[in-house]
Amino acid sequence: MWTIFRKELSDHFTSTRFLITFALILMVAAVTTYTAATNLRQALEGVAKPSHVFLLLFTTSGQLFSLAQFNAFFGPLIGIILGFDAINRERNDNTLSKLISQPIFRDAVINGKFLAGVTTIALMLSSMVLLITGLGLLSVGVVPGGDEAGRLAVYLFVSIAYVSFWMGLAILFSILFRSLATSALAAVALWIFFSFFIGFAASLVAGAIAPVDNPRDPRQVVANRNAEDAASLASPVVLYSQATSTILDPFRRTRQNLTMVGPMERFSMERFRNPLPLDQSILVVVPYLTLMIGLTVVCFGLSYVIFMRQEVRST
Amino acid sequence: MKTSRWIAPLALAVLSLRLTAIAAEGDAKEDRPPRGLTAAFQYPGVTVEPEDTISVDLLVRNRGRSDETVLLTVAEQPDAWDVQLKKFSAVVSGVFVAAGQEQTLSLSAKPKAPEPGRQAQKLPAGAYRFAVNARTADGVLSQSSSVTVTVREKVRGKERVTLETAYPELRGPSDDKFVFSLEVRNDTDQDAVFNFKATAPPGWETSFKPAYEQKQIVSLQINANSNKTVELQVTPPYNAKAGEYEFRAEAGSPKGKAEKDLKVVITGTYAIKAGTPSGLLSLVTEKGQKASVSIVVQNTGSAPQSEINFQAFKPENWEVKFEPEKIKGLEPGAFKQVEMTLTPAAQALVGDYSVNAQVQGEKASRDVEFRITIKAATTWGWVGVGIIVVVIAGLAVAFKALGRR
Repeated sequence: MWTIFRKELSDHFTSTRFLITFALILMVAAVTTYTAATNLRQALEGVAKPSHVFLLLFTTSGQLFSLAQFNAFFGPLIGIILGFDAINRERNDNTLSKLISQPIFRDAVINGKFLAGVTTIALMLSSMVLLITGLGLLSVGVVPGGDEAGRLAVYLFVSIAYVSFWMGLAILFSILFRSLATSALAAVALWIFFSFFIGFAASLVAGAIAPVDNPRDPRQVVANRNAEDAASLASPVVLYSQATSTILDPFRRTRQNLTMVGPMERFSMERFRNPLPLDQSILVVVPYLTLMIGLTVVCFGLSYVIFMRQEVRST
Repeated sequence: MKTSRWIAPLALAVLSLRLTAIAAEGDAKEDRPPRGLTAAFQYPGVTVEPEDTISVDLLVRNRGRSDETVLLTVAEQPDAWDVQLKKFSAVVSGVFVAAGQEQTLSLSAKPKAPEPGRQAQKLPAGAYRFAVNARTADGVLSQSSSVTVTVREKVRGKERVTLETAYPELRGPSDDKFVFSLEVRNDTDQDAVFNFKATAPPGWETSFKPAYEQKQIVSLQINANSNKTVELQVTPPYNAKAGEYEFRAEAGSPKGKAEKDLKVVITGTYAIKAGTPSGLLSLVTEKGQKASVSIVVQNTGSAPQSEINFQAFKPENWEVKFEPEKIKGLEPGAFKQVEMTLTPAAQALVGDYSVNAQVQGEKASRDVEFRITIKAATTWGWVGVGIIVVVIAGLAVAFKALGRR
């Protein structure tokens, strides 16, 4: 298995595809950080005692979007690019049967490919986060505290799991479909749907489940909004962005986007505006994190089972 | 024998009497008898104070046409008194009086010193009779005269110092300052510096101030027959109990002294203190989970609290209960515990909430603010871990079943 792993890793790192993707991502990351750092000054103006300034580097949207949003939308693309041709290229090039004829177990092939992909993703994302951290230290001059570093670590872990999920999905498609274009298109279609059209789908579902008859009734509005949020959680993109926004924003106290708060409760909450400790933030989003990691593992397990059951023929 | 009595207090009158005598000399010359003598005290009775010295003028007059030498002897005097007849500062036993002239002598008397070398300071009170016998050298003419000297303490009458106030009794809570306005009258004939003194129960602070001024004074100059207003300010100790307190203000000068009894009635203050036994004002709980904390209520006022109620300023649909619901009858200084139980709403968000417990007593209330930290339930965390473990176990089963082909 480790030979496959090492071979795949070297393939990834030497491929032009990887270089182009990585260069693109680095550029976007640098630009995002720069604009975020510029906007950070404006955002912090008038705040008496800013806390968790460093995390704002990741969540403040500059000209276009914040880094967290960028990862949520375009992270899947990295996964898809890394995985969409994992198996079917070997098949088409007739290298798979040659591979299997070597003294290598069949599961070593898929495990090695998946592991190599995950390692690549981990390297890319870690270097990106570290790069932004360095840029942030330079431009903002704020040193992240222990809590912030912990949040960044959790964020990195969840991001790796998220991109790995998309890679796993792409590998699954590459097992299912013989054609490179089909598997790539299938993965990209799913990505586009979950990223851009899930909002419409979710509002349709919410309209069916919890219709708003009277837009002035806060109960109905909140119920509708919660139904919409719940429906949109079907998308891993939404799942990921919800989970990470709670991890990266210590002032987010709930998973819900809209909650009913009475005037007294509001006063009571705003009396102490303390950030949540990291463990509380994690506990708040633990269902999402579970789902995220579970999806990744299930996706890989599915690819594994299907691959192991497929016949390998040299056509 | 003529017994006309003349008594003169001191030499003040001497000059004027001599002038009249000289005036009478010319016109009365022809009808004067050949010899005539008058010797008399200027006044028959005189009253002196113990501090004074006795000196009475004695008039000796030659009414005749021939000069006379008059010998004088003290005929009557109290025991243990020294009596002397003087002309200016010389002690004399007689006097030469030319025809138609008169001489004024003085009789001075003082008690004998109780022991030699010491002067008696004061005259003993009483009435004393002094008699002087005057006779011519040949003994033809003689006359005696007497004076009664009464030594008596001076009756002062209106001459005194008084201290008056319009409001001798003041009421108020123990955190007040009490100001008595005192009028000091100096009805003596002398300007004097008055010293002020106040006696107060222990722990009370007293100070004297001139009216409408902030200086603290110890003494004050008051002119004769005038008055001034001073303020006596008394400050109770912080823990003064309700009740009556007696004060005495004194004003004293060398000439006299006056005092005034004053009273302050403390009605008591209303204050309560509330907190937790440990001083910790934060609670950690989960949503929907009860949490409780003890609140200690202490009556820090000086008046008893008859009833103390509790109220909570809390988010809607939270539940806050106090056990017991109210405290009845809390004496000053005493404290009692109340258990506050609060149940956050099931929809409460993770993070910090503020709950304010209002302790409402009689004319006093106190807020105790608690920070309630809602923690996320860890059960969901374990459920999540469980799900992941199950998924990985499924993967392991797949590895086992399908692997190594």
